[in-house]
Amino acid sequence: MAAGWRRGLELTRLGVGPLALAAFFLPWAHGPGPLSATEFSGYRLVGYAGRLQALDLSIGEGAALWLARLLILAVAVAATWQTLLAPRHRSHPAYPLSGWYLVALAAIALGIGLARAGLVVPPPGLLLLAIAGGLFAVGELWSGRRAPTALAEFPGAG
Amino acid sequence: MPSVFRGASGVILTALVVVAGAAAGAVILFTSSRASDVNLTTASLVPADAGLYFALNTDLSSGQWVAAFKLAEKLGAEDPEGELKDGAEDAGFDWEDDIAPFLGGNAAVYVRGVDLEDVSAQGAVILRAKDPGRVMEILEEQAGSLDEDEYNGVEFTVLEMGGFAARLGDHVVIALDEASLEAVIDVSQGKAPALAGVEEFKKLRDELTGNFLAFVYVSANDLLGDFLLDDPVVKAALDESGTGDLVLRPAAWVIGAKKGGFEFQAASIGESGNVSPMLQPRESRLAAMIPADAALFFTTTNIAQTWSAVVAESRAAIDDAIRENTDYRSLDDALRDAGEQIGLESIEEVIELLTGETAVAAWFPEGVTSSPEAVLVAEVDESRARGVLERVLASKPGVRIEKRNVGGFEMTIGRDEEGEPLAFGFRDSRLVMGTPGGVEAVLALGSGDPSLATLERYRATVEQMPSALGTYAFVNLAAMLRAGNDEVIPGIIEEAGAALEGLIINVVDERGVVRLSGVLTIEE
Repeated sequence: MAAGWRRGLELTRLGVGPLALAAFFLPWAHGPGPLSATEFSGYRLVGYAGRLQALDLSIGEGAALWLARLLILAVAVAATWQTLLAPRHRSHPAYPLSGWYLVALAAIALGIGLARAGLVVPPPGLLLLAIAGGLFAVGELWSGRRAPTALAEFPGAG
Repeated sequence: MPSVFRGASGVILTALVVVAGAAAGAVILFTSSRASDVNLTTASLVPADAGLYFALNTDLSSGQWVAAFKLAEKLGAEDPEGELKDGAEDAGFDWEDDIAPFLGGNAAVYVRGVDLEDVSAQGAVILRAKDPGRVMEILEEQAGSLDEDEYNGVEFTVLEMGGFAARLGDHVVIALDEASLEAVIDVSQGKAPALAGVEEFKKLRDELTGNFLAFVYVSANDLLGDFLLDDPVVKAALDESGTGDLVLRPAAWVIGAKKGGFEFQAASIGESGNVSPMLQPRESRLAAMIPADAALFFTTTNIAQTWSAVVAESRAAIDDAIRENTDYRSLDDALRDAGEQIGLESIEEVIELLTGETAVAAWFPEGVTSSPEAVLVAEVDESRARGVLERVLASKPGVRIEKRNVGGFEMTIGRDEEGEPLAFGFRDSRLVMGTPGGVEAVLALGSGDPSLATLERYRATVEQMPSALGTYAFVNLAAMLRAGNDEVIPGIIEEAGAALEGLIINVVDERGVVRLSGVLTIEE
C-alpha cells in the first residue's frame, strides 16, 4: 500500500472514536407522539429510558429498557475504547470488538430509522455514527484484518 | 504481534481499557437519568415586584411529565401522550408546526399588581420557546400584526387582537399592555431587577422541590399593593387572627408527579409563631395503635402548649372579641361555662391534658360511612386524665357505667339516659376515647396485628411525602371510596377511584419555613 494511503488509513482509524463520541451527544431520533418535535441524542435516550424505568413497570418492560439503555450506552464505551486504542494499541481485542460494535449498532439504528421515516437524511448523531462505523469498517477491511484474527492475536485467546 | 501486550503491560492496558469504559458508562448513566431541576429561565425576565408568578414545566420528556403520563394511564387514560397530540390536532393545530415551537422548557404568567379600584392588572406571558422565530410567526398568523415598533432596540409587534409580542433571545413575551412589555424588556437588559434575584423568591424556590409540573409564587404585598393592606379593617382582621405574617409574606406552591402519585408543596416565608409547637417535624407514634382499616387519621402534637402560647399573647384581643359577640365577659368565662356543662371547672382541663401527640381516627367496619367507629388517642398524664373523664361521666344524670377488660386493659363505657355511649381506656399511658367499638379495637390490637403504621398503603403514601411530617391527615382513599355510595362514582370516575390509594395533607415548620405539603398516591 502506498505511504499516502497508509497515512490516510491511520487518520481514518484515529477519527472513529472521537466521531462516535460526538455522535453520542448529537440527535439520533425524534420522539413519538407529543415528543415528535423533540430530538433525542444517545445521551438523552439513555436518560429518558432511565426516567421510564423509575416508573412501575413489568419485569419484561423493565428488562427491555435496561437492554436498550445498555446497548446505547455501549456506544459511548466503544467510542472511548476506540479513542484510547486506535493510536497505538490496535492489537488489543477491545479495539476490533468496540469498532465492530459501532458498525453493528449504526447499521441497526439506520435500519430502524429507515423503517420509521423512510429514505431521508438521518439526524446528525446517527449520520456521524454511521460515518464512524463506516470508517472503521473501511479501515479494517482495507488492511485485511478481521475481528477474529485480532482476538486470536491477544495473549490468552485461541 | 507486538510483545507489549503480553505480560504486565497487557494486563495494565486491559485494566485501563476496562476502567475507562466503566467510568464513561457510569458517568453517562448517572448524569443522564438524574432528575434535573426545572430551570425557571422565565423568572429572569419577570420584574422583581411581580405579585403573582405561575410557571409551567413544558419539557414533555422530563421525568415529571413522564411520571404524569404514567399516572394518567393508571387513572384510566389509554394513551395520554397520544391523546394530547390528537387533541391539539383535532382543534386544528399541527403539533410539530404550531405547538412544539412553544415548548422550550418553561412558560410563565406573571401579574405585577392588581388595582381593585380600576379593575386592572399588569402582567405578561413569557415562554422559553423551542423555536422563538416560529412562535412569533404563529402569533402574527393567529392574532394578526397591526404594527411593528421598537423599545430600547427590541422590536415588538402590536397584535391586532390586542396585546404586544416580542422576542427576547430564546424567549417570547406576550403582554396585554405596552408598559408590561417594556418592563420585561428593561429586566432582560438589566435595567430593572428580576424576580429571579429576589431573596424571598430564591429562598422559596430552593426550599421547594426543584422538579415540578407547575410552580406558583405569590407576594400579597406586591400583588395587592397598598389598596387592601392599608385598609384598617383588613389590617386589623389579619392582625387579630394572628395570621398576618403568614398571609402577607411571600409564599410559593409546586405541583409535581412522581412514580407513586401526584404531590404538592407550599411554603411561606412567614413564621408560624405561636402555632409552631404543633408544626414541629416528627413521626407519629400513635399510628401504630390505630387499626389498619382506618380510613381517616389525623395527628397533631403539643395542643396544650400551643393553646397556652396563643392565649397568653392574645388574651386581651380574644376577651374583647368574646365580649362584643357573645354574652360572656371573657374567654375564661366562656371556657368555665362550657366546662361546667360536662362536670368540669373549665374546658381548659381537657385542653391541658393534651401535652403530647393527639390523634383522631375513623373507620367503617360495616363498609358504610353511616356507621363509623371513631377514636381519639392522646399521650396524656394517665391519672390526671382518668380523674377528668370520671368527673365528666359522673356529671351526666342517670349515667350507667360498665367496665370491661379488653386485651388486658380496662375499658369504661358510660351511657347516658338516652343510651348514647362514650367509652375510654388507657393503654401505655395513652388515652383512648371514642365509640365503644373503636376503643375496643384499639385496646385489643395485638403487637403482631396489622396497624395503620404497618399498612402498606399508609407507608407508601408517607414515603412519597416531599417534606417531613408535622401536623397531618391521612385519608385511605380506597377505604373511603369503598365505604361511600357507589352510585356517586360512575363511569370513568369509578375507574379513577379504583386507582386512588392514599392522600396526606401536612403542615410542618421545617428550617424556619412553614410548608403545606401533600401527596396523592395512585396504584396500578
